[in-house]
Amino acid sequence: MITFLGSRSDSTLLASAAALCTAELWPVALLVFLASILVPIVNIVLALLVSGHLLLHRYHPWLAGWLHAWHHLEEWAMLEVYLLSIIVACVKLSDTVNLYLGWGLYAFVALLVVNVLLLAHFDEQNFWRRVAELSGRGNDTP
Amino acid sequence: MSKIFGGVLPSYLAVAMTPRNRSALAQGLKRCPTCGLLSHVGTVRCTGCGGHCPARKVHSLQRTSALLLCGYVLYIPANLYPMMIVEQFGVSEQLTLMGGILALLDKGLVPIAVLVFVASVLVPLLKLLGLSLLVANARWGWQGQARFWTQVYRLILFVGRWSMLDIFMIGILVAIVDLGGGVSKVLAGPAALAFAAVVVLTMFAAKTFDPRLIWDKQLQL
Repeated sequence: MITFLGSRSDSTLLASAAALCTAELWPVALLVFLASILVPIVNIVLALLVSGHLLLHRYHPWLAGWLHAWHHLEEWAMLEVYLLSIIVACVKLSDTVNLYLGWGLYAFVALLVVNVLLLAHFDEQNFWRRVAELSGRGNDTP
Repeated sequence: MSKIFGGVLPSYLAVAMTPRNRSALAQGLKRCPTCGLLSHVGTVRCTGCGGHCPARKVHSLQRTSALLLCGYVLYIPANLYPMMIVEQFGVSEQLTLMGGILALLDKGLVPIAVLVFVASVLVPLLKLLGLSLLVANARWGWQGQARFWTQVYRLILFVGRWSMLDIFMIGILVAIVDLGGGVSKVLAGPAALAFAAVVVLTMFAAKTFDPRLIWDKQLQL
């Protein structure tokens, strides 16, 4: 994600979680992996599933489960915190090495912006109301 | 209308209209924290979303206090042990949480130093103290300023995640600063584990605390 030349080494999101894994710090590595990679991905998938079903007026028995999972996972996605720590790390390194920002960082910022927009437009209670309506209909005609 | 009241006929609508300062619980109602639907106190599962929705979070104060206690204990090694081990040209330097911030200050990066200080020293400490006060407040029903304490709780919920800043930064530095031949290398120290545990524990503590408890004693007056 960020390439830097001193002698050369570059890094990605996944690598930063993996790097912590080597020591006896695997719980920290797991936490970083969860908060920066897995939970954001799961959140996006859940958002797609739920809003897709609601958009197409389809009922699915797991619809409520997905929405519950999304509700509980929301605060464990810490992309914006990660961005801030990238900035801090860059500032820390900037006086000793040359930093080059890779495409991954632009993609990351774009993902963050889209995610913030998604959460800003997400009306949870409205979603629940729609799910209840759909499940009521689903029970009527099994 | 009956939809809003969770399928129950609005027989206590009249009750809800009359006295002002009364909690939903006093009127035999509870609000689901997930979907926002009001339902009868007797129901186990929410009629709207099917999730568990107790009128007050179960054993909220005990769970929050236990998590807080763990948080306090782990806060000590998080500050005493080295957070980061920087090897440069064969010289190994161990940086604690405060040491890293002082190193930033030495370089003249004051804004970043302040940022890291707030995120990784001030926020966890204030979170621990703030939640302890909230627990004490709810436990002994200190009167007054319930609105203020609710705002404190909201603030604690909001700032909790930002303490992860330091952990992520260490991850990035460990991954990126690895120049072969012992020129330069960063390793994570044991404090990282304790610190990450403090952050996670306080996040859980904030989640298990039930802010409605702040108001319960207040409204009994």
